[in-house]
Amino acid sequence: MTSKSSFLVSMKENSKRRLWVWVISALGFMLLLPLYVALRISQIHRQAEWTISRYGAEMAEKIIHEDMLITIKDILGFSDILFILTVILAVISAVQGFSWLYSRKKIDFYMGMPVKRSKRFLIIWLNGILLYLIPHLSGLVIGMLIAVGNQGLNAGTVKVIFQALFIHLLLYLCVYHMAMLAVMMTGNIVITGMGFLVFCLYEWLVRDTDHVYKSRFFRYFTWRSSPKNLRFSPFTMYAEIVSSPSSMTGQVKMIVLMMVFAVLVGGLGYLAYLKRPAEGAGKAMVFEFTKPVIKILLVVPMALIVGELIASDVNYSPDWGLQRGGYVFFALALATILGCAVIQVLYEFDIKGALHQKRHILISGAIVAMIFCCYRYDLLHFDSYIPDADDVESIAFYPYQYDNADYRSLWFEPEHEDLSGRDYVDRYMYLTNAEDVCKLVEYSMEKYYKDMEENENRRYNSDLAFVSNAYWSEARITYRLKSGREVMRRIWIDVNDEASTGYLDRIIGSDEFKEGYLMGASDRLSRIIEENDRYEISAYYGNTVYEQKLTKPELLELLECYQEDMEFYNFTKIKDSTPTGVIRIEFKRNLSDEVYGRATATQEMGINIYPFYDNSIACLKKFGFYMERQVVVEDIDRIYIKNYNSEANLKLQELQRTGGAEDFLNDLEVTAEGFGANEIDTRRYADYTQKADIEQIADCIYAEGMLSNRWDNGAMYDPDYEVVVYFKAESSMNRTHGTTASYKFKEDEVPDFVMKDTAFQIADK
Amino acid sequence: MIEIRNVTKCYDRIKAADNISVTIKENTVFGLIGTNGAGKSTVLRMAAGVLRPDEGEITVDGLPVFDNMEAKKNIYFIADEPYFFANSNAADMQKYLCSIYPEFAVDDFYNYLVNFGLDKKRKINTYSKGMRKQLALICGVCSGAKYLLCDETFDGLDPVMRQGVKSIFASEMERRGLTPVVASHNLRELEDICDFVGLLHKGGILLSKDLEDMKCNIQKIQCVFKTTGDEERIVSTMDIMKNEKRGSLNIMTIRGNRAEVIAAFATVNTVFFEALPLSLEEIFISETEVVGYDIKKLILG
Repeated sequence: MTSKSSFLVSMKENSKRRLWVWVISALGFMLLLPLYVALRISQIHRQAEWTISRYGAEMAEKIIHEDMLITIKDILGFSDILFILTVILAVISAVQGFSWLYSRKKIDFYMGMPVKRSKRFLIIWLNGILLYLIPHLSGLVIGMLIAVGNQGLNAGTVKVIFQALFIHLLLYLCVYHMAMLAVMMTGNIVITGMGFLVFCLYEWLVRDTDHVYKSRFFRYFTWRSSPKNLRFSPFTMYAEIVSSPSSMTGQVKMIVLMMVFAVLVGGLGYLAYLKRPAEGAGKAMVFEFTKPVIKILLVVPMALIVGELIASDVNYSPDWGLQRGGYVFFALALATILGCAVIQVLYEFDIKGALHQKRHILISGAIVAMIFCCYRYDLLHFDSYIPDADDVESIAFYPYQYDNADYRSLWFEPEHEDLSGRDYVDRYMYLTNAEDVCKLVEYSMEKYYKDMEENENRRYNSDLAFVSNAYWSEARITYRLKSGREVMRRIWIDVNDEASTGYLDRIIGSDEFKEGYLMGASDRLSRIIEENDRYEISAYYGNTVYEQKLTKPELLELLECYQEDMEFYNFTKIKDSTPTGVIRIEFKRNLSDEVYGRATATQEMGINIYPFYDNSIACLKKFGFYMERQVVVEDIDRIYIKNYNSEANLKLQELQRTGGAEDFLNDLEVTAEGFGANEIDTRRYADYTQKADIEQIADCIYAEGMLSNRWDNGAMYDPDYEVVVYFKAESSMNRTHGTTASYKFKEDEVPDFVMKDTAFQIADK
Repeated sequence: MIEIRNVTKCYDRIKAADNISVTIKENTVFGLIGTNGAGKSTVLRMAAGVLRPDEGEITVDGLPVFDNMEAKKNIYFIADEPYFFANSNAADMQKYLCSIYPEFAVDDFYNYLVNFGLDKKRKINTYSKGMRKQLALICGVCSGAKYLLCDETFDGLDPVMRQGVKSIFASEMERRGLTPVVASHNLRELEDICDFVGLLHKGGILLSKDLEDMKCNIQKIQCVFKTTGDEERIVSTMDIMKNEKRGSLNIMTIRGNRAEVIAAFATVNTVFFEALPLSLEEIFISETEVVGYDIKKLILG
């Protein structure tokens, strides 16, 4: 049994051997950190005079105090300086503490002594933690004392500082154990360094390889914007904790993960320490069996990445053509041989050993070829797999940017403000009509494949005519299988196709879709508005030029009407319509009590209102907010229209290329502003000031935001025309919006007189 | 007693120790002789519990030594290049060793330092190679461990120092039963220290014997026989390992104790007879030649 005094004496002795690490730690935490705190505080004091002059004494005192609190929290809480010190010290401490295992001399000395391996490990391990913890804690105390002296500390700040200390300690343990495991598995510091880097980057390397290969070869591969797959990196876990201070559940989950990681890697390190043979000192790899395993595990993804780089360079992919495979195969083979050779040289410390262990090259090559073929030919049927409708529990169907409101998000989630549409749909949409989705997917995949094939043939055979009326829109689908598995696919749907439209009507027209895609269609939005105590909510109705503020009761009433209108919502109706306006809702959050200072974070969401939403429109009319036109004629001073005449421009360019109209071209008026010397200016302008003209134009124009790119290939604006509405100086719009507003014509809705006034006449010229 | 039974150890497929069996008795000075690469350090490192044998077993006083603290308590291992903490002095080493070996003789340690002319305050990294070996030996002797394993520790020590160490060994052996095990590639350096010797070659042990027994059982006789019949009688009755003739002078190496050999020669007529003392080197040469090895090449160079 180890006596307490013997243990303490050994700890003391070990500390003496690690004096320089203690010094680095103390310098970092007990000198640099407090010094930085003092510098930042003095900076705030220096600005005090200006703050007082700007805000007055009473307000300035409050601001300075708040600044002080935030600064202290910034530095002594989750700060970059503490993160960097923690990581550097963890690596130094692990390598220095166990570096005696690199030296035969030291091994003979230490292992010849009657000291249990476990005891020696515990002493070094514990010492490695204390040399971080004691100076860190002391530095924090000094920093807090400085803060107290400057009224820069309160209970909240102290709580954050100690929470950060705990998280940093966890991070330290994770990195410390990773570096320790690298030391245990290797016999010299260079290889340890490489090993540590491999531990840090390997997961990324494998995931990235998998991701780029799936993206390259699998047409229907998709991934979530915020990956739910756990990342086995303490740095990512730490970043997750720091970046989501408001999400308690997320933090606790990451803390538990970090703990598990630290224990697991620490346990592995300890096991490797116990099993480590003394003769491993000085060797590249201590455990013989790890040599081929590690070599192959490193070479395979690296060779695949090199192959991918070349594939990307020569555009080797199903969508771009598979003609240059030779380059890719050569790159794969070369990378495998070179990778094996480099690692073998490191193992033997001898350049002549580069081609030793040829069977490793063969095994690596075989694995690389196998994996490459799995992706290239979809041997595992990853890409071609569509779940059977009977196996599906529910589906999240996400038509990418469908029915988006003036580029605003359609969703808002209080606890997850950065939630993407895909994430929202995955969370809330549970389509049970799996049959229609599966059929649509199967049908679309087949059609898209055929279209691509034809496209491919056309590319290599210029005589082949390619006529397709298809308009491909992207949709991402998450199948939740009865087995508990999730399958994700990205497909392209021809929204012009009749059969596809039939499926989409049934899918998009279903209550489950509306519930999971359109936030206002369920009670979720109304509940957030009613129960909210965290956000300052403002709502507006308008067309992005004209806007009216809605009160909370008005908004809730409008949402109720909107929900009633949802009964008529389906794909075809939306495709055939253009929104008349948007309900815009702002969620403002005060960040002053968090790490950002006196700032507010604003999230916005929008809901389109279509002409067939009778209840909503009746409600808006009741509030006096509904506009029959997109602009109030009485506000308009004049309307300026620019027509690019792009068709004529193309025609002229063609004439210029063929050289058949030189004289004609010489006479042309050229080089208007914004055009190159050899380009032809086909733009024509018209200014309308007469009320009759203005009224006619006002009937046809839409605020730009109402006619954005449409997922469903519905009504879009005519890109040739730019309409600028000039408001009267005395109009309210001039004050609230500005002197002008941009508008657009819908395709095929340009008034004849405008077309005539702004046309570029080639024939006349 | 340290018992090494059928021990084998390989480094990357190279056999450093090949089925070695040797017993090191208590209260003796055991010399482990062998050329460079013979496996001396490997055997000592295994005996010290630093290396784990691939095959076989090593026990110290009946206890397996690898990873066994009870067995290791009785051992102090001085490697061929002894390690001392960076920037430490002799006093620092003493403090550390005191925490490991509870019976560390502090007074003796400082006395020995004075006797050997080593400054306890001077940094060890400024010591000469010989001084470092002396310090390592002092640390080992004072540790209180019963078995002191010294790997090439005497190489480079001057004769006076060797004599000093020998007397320390003698007194410690008498006082507390110290058993030094000394490995060296030079037989001549061990001759005046060891009383039991094991000869290692190419990872295997060639022989292991008590030096006194060896010395007592081999006699070197220089004589001139009166007649060839006298010579034939001696040759037929005695176990002659070597018989060298220089004219009428016979130089014979004969197995047997001194009294028996003298008595045998008394029965024949000799013109000249002399029994000569044998050096350890000569004993080894004779013994190994019998087994077919040219020991001069092996350990004398």
